[in-house]
Amino acid sequence: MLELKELSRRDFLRICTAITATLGLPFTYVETVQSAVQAKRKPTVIWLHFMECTGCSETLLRASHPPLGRFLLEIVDLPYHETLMAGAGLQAEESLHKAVKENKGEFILVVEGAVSTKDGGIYCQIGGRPALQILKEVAKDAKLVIAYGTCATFGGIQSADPNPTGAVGVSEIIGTSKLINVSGCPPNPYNLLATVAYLLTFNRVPPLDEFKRPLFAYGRRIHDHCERRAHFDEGRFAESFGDEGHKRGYCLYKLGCKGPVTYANCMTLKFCDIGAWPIGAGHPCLGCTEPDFWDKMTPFYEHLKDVPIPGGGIISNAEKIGAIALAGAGLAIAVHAGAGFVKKALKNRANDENKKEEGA
Amino acid sequence: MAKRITIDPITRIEGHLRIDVEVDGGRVTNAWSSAQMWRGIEIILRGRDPRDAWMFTQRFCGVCTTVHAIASVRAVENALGLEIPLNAQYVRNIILCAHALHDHIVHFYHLSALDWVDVLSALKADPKKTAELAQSLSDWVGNSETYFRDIKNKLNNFVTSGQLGPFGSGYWGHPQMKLPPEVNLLAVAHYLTALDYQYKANQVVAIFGAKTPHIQTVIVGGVALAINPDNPSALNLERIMLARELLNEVKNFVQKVYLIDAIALSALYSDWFEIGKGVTNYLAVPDLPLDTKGTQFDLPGGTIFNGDLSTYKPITSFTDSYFRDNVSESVVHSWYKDIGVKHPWQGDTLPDYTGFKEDGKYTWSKAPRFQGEPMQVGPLAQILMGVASKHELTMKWVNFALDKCSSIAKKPITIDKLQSTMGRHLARAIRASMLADLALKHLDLLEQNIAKGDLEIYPYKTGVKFPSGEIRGFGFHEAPRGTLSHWVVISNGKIKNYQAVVPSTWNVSPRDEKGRRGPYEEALINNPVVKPDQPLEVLRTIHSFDPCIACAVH
Amino acid sequence: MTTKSKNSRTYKSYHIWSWTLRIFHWTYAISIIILIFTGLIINNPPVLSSFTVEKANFFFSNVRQLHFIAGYFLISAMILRLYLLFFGNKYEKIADFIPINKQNFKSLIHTIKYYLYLTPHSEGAKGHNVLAGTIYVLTFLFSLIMILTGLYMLYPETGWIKSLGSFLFGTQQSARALHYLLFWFFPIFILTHLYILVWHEIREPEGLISSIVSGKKFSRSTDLQ
Ligand code: HEM
Ligand code: HEM
Ligand code: NFV
Ligand code: SF4
Ligand code: SF4
Ligand code: F3S
Ligand SMILES: [Mg+2]
Repeated sequence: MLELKELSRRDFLRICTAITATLGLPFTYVETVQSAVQAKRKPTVIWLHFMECTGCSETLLRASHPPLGRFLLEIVDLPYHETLMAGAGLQAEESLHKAVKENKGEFILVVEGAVSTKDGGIYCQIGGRPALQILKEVAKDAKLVIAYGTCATFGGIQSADPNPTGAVGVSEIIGTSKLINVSGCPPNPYNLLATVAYLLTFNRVPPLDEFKRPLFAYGRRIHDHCERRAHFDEGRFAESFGDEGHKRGYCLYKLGCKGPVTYANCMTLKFCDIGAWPIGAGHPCLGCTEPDFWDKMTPFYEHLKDVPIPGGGIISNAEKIGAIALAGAGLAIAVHAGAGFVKKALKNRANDENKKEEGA
Repeated sequence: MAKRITIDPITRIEGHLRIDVEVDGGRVTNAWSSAQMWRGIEIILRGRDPRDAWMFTQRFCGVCTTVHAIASVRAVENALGLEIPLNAQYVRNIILCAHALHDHIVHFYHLSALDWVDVLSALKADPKKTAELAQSLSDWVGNSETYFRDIKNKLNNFVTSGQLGPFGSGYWGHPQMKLPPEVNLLAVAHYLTALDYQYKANQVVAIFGAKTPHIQTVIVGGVALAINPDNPSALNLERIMLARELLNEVKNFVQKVYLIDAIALSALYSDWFEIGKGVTNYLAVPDLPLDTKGTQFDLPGGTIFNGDLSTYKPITSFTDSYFRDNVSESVVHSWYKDIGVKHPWQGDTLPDYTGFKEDGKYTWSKAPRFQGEPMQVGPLAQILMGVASKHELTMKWVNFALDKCSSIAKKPITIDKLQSTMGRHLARAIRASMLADLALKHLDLLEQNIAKGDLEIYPYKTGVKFPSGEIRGFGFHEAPRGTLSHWVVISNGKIKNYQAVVPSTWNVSPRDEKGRRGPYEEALINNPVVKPDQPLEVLRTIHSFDPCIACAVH
Repeated sequence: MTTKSKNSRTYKSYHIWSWTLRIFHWTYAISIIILIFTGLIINNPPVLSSFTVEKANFFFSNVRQLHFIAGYFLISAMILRLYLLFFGNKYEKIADFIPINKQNFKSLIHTIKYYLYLTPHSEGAKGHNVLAGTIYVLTFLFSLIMILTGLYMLYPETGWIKSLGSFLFGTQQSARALHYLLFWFFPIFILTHLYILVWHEIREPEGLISSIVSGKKFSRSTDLQ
């Protein structure tokens, strides 16, 4: 990196001229090069893809402020992002190593996707090495790690029962000391962009919740700002998709909405700058920003059905168990009472017989 | 002596792909394609509620997103024998078109253009000449000198900052980069402009899908998008107008910029019409259903064998038995326990990792076959079905593209030439132009149907109920990367088996039990490689398929 | 020693439940009954609005408010009981009615035999019998979990509640599921509780039922020595 203080004006000019020449630009460009070199260096971001669907990366294509073009050209320096970068194979590997080496302790690492831990992590390999290994190495030299998306934050879909690959979130591998979680499947791109902006503007990590998520994005429940909330409070519910209540924009609680237990800002921020979001369209929230939502929020169209019995880990139907237990209690009572009557009757008979014998 | 090259990771695709080639005398003589990630979602689906399956399967892929949602609900609906309300069909169709428009645009400009376009050379371009060139190709309003000058300045600032970000690792100055600086500047400019238009296409997806990636309105039986012209919280005319304006803008961009750029690129690199033919059996399924049952479609589907259009055989409905009975998957060369060649309903996914064994197992991808044959799928396959069936809209855009391409290349480029690396790019742009027309058509259909007073989106009177006992279903969908099918076995209302056979599975396929290579592998044979340490040509052919490995393996 | 025959026994009244405990009991009982009914409605609310007139009825918010008010009464009751568990009279203290020593363990076995009709007489425990006592302690524990999960859902943004909640239960959905799962315990408990009381009353006229109102219980005079 250029240490401007130590350079004389003449040296500086010489370097800029050299850069201009290297780039094959006419001499008139020296001035442009000067101002560019003097300008603040863009912070380096390294983006790693592990077990994921690239939906999280795709979110960046769905943002307008800033648009991806400006983000890439003017805001950050993103030398490694497998979906965007020009080079492949050797060239890609090299640019990762170079970026890490040149920005040791300075770069922001964004991780998209979960990490396989089963069988040495062979279920996800890049350049012949398990994601597990790559993450440990690169994260070590990062200043901060942002786990982007529910896969990276909490393990995501591949960690859903029975988790065939032993997939886990980033925190399970590198701890949480320099971690920021930006969850969602996929997350709202502005939650990442604003996190980066926050870091650059305030030069500190935003306040986080228990799951290491920025409060500005995950500090509120969907339910508490939901546009359908008045209908909830007044007991107006859609009972089925397409029914009268649904057509009138009533609350989706009975269709399985997880808004009451989900922390996110979809209801205020919405998607794609056109005011779209799941509940707005008429589909319940899945709780996609919450840990283990693939197991805990399913079946998605039930308000609460399969309750994991604590401890056992067996998914069981609480309603059924409850009803059976209640019926069982009733039955037990009936049997118990019945047994009492029978016993009493027997005893009375015995007494009668005793009396008879006595009397005889 | 053949030289072995391993490219891992292949970048500017979705997912983790490794390609191995043997190069002899500057030509590829053998190839292996190896998918590097398996998540086991087919296993995770077992025992779950079939109504939830589409949410899970949609997470196969966030690039083609939407498509696994649609294929999944179709599979479950097929098992239940459901008919889908017209509004729901139209909404799904608009989502299909809008999403594919975004996907094709991004593939061309942001995933593959850097194989052909030398970004640094653009700095040497004269913006005035670029504007003249652009105007000679298209009457797009954006083709002004000021615009190209502005882009060149931006590029200057960027390059001189010395922090080249994702472009730092590129193949600039590679001998296979042959475009003049003016064309390179044009392409760089459109790289940036395309970002705005793919975004608009995404906004349309969000209007009908609630969010994107990963829409949240498709449901088994219909859609969850409430329609009510008399309500502020449902899809009403304001939303439809917004969608129409956005689609018009996207259509303009696709037909006046994307298609033209693809034509110009292919004309300027016309030698690539001779490279990368590969597997010439083609498969596409019909899509954009026009009725509740799925018997009439706006996009044709079928099979073609050996590159011979006269072998065209159509696939005609959502219950088509020709398609249903002829799909199978082989796993001899895949990291799964061998269970023989199986129809998807009987399929299983039991991991068995061995490391890369070039004569044994070497990939997480299965090897799908149709009537035992490897098939190439994708926009090219679909375009060929359209040509073979004399589909009007297809013919209109194919003729337009080939005429223009021939005139720029100053030699005849025939339909036959589409069976190549460059042909796959051109076919994709042609398909995008068709979909831009069709998106607006289906928006009109939706609006007309609502105007008739039909607000149905879901069979809410009967509900969606699963019988006891076992039922089976399949659902197909023509995704941006080609033919997608989902196969489900439901037992007592719970998923017993779920198998997805995905476009990229067809294309990334390894060898099968008979040792026949899959489409990527076959297309690489004879590819030139002039600098083995910078195997740009391999990337060109691989990228022409638009690989998606998260899709392929799931 | 008074003479006693098999069928005619003498009973003596004695004071056992402090007024605090009785206040606890009724606050607790009534709030739980309300919580059960309102909770059921929260779990599956009926749709009451007619589609022609969207009149504000606030039925659901009233139900929920009632649930939360009852929840607060439950919390107060539990605080009271917690106090009594350690500072109440001899019979109210936790040590008296859980099987922590040999004697209490014997009492537990005896009561089980009694309920199974294996022995004709109750052990005539002065306070709770140990079986009942153990169940009560379990009830208190479950009530505590209901309170914690309930508060976690009710105060999503109160720092310490949210931290404690996510520490104990993870996501709110897990807490909600647990809240619902444990809900089933309460109707079952009440059913059994009332049945056993009546059954007891018939078998041994100790005045058990009225004791929870008056504080006085009767004991076979022999036992009172
Ligand atoms: C034994 C005592 C209680 C019982 C039987 C009970 C029962 C229930 C039930 C059945 C539900 C519906 C759960 C669902 O389907 O989501 C519920 C919800 C709830 N309960 Fe309780 N509950 C009890 C105590 C409490 C307490 C002490 C509080 C807090 C002060 C509380 C606060 C809540 C809250 C906040 C909800 C969720 C309401 C909503 O989502 O609108 N509950 N309760
Ligand atoms: C008409 C209704 C009820 C009557 C007559 C009644 C009566 C009694 C009596 C006599 C006792 C003392 C029993 C013993 O020593 O084992 C008792 C204890 C208890 N009852 Fe009830 N009960 C009633 C309803 C309820 C309800 C609805 C609940 C709530 C779930 C409840 C919860 C308890 C508890 C927790 C205790 C233990 C008290 C303590 O040691 O703190 N009761 N009840
Ligand atoms: N291959 C594939 Fe997809 C597509 N198009 C899926 O069906 O990309 Ni992810
Ligand atoms: S969090 Fe969701 S969108 Fe992001 S990578 Fe994972 S599955 Fe895809
Ligand atoms: S739709 Fe969901 S988040 Fe909105 S008020 Fe209803 S339950 Fe709450
Ligand atoms: S499903 Fe996810 S996107 Fe928002 S509305 Fe619910 S958290
Ligand atoms: Mg599969």
